Amino acid sequence: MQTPLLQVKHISKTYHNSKGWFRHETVEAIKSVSFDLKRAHTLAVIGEAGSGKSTLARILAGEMSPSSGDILLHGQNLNDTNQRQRCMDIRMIPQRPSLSLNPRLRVGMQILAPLVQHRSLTPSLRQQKLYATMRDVGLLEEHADYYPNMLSASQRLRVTLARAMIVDPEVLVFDQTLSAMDITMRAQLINLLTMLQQSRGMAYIMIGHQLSMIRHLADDVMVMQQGEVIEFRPTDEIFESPASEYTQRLIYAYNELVQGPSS
Amino acid sequence: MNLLDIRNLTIELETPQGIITAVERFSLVVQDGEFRGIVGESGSGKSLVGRAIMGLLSNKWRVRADRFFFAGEDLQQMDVDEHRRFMGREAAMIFQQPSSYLDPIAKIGEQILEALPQTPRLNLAFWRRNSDRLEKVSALLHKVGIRDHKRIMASYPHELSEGLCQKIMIAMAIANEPRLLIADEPTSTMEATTKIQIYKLMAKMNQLRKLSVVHICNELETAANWTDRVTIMYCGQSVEAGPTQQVVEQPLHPYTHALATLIKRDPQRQMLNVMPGTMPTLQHLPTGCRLGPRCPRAHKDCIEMPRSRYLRNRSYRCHAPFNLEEKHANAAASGQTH
Repeated sequence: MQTPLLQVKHISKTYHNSKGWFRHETVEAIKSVSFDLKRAHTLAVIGEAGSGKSTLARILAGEMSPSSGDILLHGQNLNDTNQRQRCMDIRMIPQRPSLSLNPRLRVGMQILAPLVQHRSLTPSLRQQKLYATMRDVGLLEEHADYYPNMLSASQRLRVTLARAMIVDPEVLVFDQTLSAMDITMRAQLINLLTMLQQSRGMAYIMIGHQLSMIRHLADDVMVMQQGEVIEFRPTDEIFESPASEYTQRLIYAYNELVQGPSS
Repeated sequence: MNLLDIRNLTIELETPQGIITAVERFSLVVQDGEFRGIVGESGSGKSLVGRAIMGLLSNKWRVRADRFFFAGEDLQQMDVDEHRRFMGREAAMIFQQPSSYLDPIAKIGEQILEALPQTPRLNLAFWRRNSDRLEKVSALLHKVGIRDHKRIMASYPHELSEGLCQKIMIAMAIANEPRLLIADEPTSTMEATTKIQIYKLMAKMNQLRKLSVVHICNELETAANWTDRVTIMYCGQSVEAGPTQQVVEQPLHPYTHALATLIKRDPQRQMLNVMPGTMPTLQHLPTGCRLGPRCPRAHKDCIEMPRSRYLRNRSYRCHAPFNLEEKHANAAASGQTH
């Protein structure tokens, strides 16, 4: 059997908050989470606020390290490989694209930043790469000279997407990125993501609560509650027969929202 | 009876670069006890309409209308303070991100007390008036579905979830027994289970107390099932209005058509049928029909701004509508136009 692209094995994360001088409390944000992710597949993570889904995203993106457990990419443990390679393979799209862009730098510079950081390329090659990536996400070459405030919200999201994709990552992590988008914009971006997934074979991990989008995009859904995975099944099964109590409540509420009051 | 009657509302903003028209010739009629939806993308001017009705726009905005009546009173005859005081008595508004609209340093109970009508009940002895007001607060909380009113009243906004905060906002909104509730994207940041609670609450208020609701939201998907009539806005104009069921099932305007096809279910993971491009900014509007450059059905007539046409109880603003037979189109074109 082929090894999955990303394997997460029993990772857990514990926060230590000091309370006063001597006491401290420990909060287990994630308790022994494991899953596999194949190439060109999409995994959606849903759960209540405080269920540890954002912590999971940050651990995967390398923003912090898990208290225990392993993350394997191509069967290789990520804790052993150098940080630089890891930063190029798994990239996160922030929650609010407009807040994560520097208003005083041209868009082109910001998209290039990871490339400058992680790869040594000649300036002309870099420029080529920049334009190719911008075309892929549906931006024009002229946009490279713009400042973020001159772009619309969906274009800013495309900029952050281009910035993540310029180093050819294998996995993209979306931390509730698309939930604040308008419906037509979201539809455009869903199309864009589907297209990119088919052409580049990237895997996506989407964190959020936009159920109609998850239903359309995701192959598998992972439901988290209080740091534990309570359900992990294909999307259709989850939407047809939710097993756990929390998922049932969520799916019934969703069905009622889009189908009207049951009375 | 028409509770709210707006005809050709225009909202303009004075900027150093000149006057920008944010909302142009917007008409809205809300009946008593109606659940009305206004759907549009961000920047389409839908929140401005809500704020203009409440009189909340600052004086750099210019609001004009051919008719601007609420419950038979002409709002344009009033000055700003009168307008606000009148609408404060008769209507209420709730916003998105409720926790940011609540005072972070006052307890919930105090804040709801503030929202209660100030007139004392004269038939009550003065030493009992205070406890009477507190009882009213807990009754309000019960009405919006909060059971442990004691804990909620003693807590601060940051200790509560967004869903609870929105319920508290609704409790404060209905404290004055308003006739109209304007809900400006009340559920946009919530998850499905909380969303449904807020929707059910609004629907309940609408049915039990004949409270009219103007629900401003950016998703047709949910508005489709919870509203009686809906107005679709694009770029500051109302592009289509009518009974929700008809608008969703047989959209006339190409923009509505695009929105309606997005919410149809297709289990296969395929490309969605979307409109290319983004909404133009208000400084750089295209000439003629504002959807023009993005519209799949654009033709040479579209360089002229289409007028609102009325067809039975619907209105639309398009030269080449969908789902309309030729004779109806001609009848509508020769009929009443504005």
